Amino acid sequence: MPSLKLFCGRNKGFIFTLDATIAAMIVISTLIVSSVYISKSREEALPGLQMLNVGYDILNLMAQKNLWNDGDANSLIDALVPPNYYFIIKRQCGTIDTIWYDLAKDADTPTTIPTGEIVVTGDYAFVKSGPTYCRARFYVWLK
Amino acid sequence: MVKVRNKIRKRAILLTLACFLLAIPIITLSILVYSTSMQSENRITELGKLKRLDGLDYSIQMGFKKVFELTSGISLYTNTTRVVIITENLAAPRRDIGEIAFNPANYVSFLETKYPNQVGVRDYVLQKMSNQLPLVIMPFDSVYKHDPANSQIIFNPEKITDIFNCTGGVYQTYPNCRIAGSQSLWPISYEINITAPTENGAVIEAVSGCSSGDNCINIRINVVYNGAQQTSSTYAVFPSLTTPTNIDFQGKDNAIKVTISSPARLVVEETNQNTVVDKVSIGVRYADFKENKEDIKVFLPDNLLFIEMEDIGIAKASTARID
Repeated sequence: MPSLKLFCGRNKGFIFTLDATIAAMIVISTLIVSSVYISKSREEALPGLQMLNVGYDILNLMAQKNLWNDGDANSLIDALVPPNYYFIIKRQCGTIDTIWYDLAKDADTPTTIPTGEIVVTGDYAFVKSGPTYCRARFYVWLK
Repeated sequence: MVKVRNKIRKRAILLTLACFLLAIPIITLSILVYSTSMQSENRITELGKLKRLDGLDYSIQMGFKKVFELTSGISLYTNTTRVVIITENLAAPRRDIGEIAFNPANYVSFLETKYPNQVGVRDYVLQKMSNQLPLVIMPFDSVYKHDPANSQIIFNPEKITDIFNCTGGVYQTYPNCRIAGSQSLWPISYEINITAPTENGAVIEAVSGCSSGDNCINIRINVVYNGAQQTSSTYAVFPSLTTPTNIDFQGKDNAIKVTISSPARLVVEETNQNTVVDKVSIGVRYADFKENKEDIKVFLPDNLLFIEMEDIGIAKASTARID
């Protein structure tokens, strides 16, 4: 029985080492593949948070500086929105929703909010002189 | 032959066992990785929702601040690291001292309509604001408030040592503090400016105050007419003095009273409803505050508004910072 000797004879140590190595390789490759998926899922979510921060930063600045008239707000948004983002603010001062700014550095921002893409939104309440009470909702998505 | 078959069978069992043992950690690891990944996604989603809650909360606070600036007639100013000046414009709309102009009812109704089930304003705090409009000055916890029924503006320090100037004395804490030097060198704890559109000889009555060596609070009262100071007096008074300093004003005796009562509580009262005052300004000097003046903050009463995110079970109660 030479074949039996190969498996259980004096080469037994080699077989066990091979077995352990294969096991270790399987575990390591599982870890690598799964960590790739984990980091990918984080990568997909983090830009969303970043877009939310950009949106609120812009609106907070507008509120701090009281820049609610169209010209001032336009300049501020022009200066602050990163070039790879589309950014729209809808405001409601009264009853009718109006698109206020369709902006990003260029004029190609769609006037409607896309469906089927990740679009980040945030709500904001603000008061203009008068006082006039308004609400705003911003939309940010990647170009 | 049977021996060989048995050996092979044993080996097969061993192999199956080995595979099973290998599979267990791999499956466990996979489940762990999957659940970690899901949790990580959930945490990021929650972070986003928290950011939204925080952003909306901040915007509403800014809205209260704006409504306050537009309607209250009150302006706040911190000119050094210790002095807070609160000025009430009583000329437009014309009001008596202690009367409240700030009315956030429309803003509150706007918020509750536009953000139903999400934003709420507590009724008892609203009630408090319409009755007294207390402004909380931090980090001292002092309260500046109104008493419309008695035509009073009240400044209430949290403790007497916030206001009491204990400089260069033998003892350094109230009530055993002794102020050294002449009165003209003592710092002013309260400075009250009364600005009037018309005036014919305002008289600030002298008060039997305290002198060097006693526990005194130094107050200055100025009457301003037509942009120029008409009369000014500085008094050292006991922190628990209840006898008011009377100001004869616009031909009326004791038209305005300034009272100090323990603990260094200041009351400015209009006793004659026919008195016409354009502005009342109260400057407060905090005794030992050595931080940056940016650290002095003024808030509307606590727990004014609450915002809820039902889907993640988080609610935030806050107030509005107005300066």
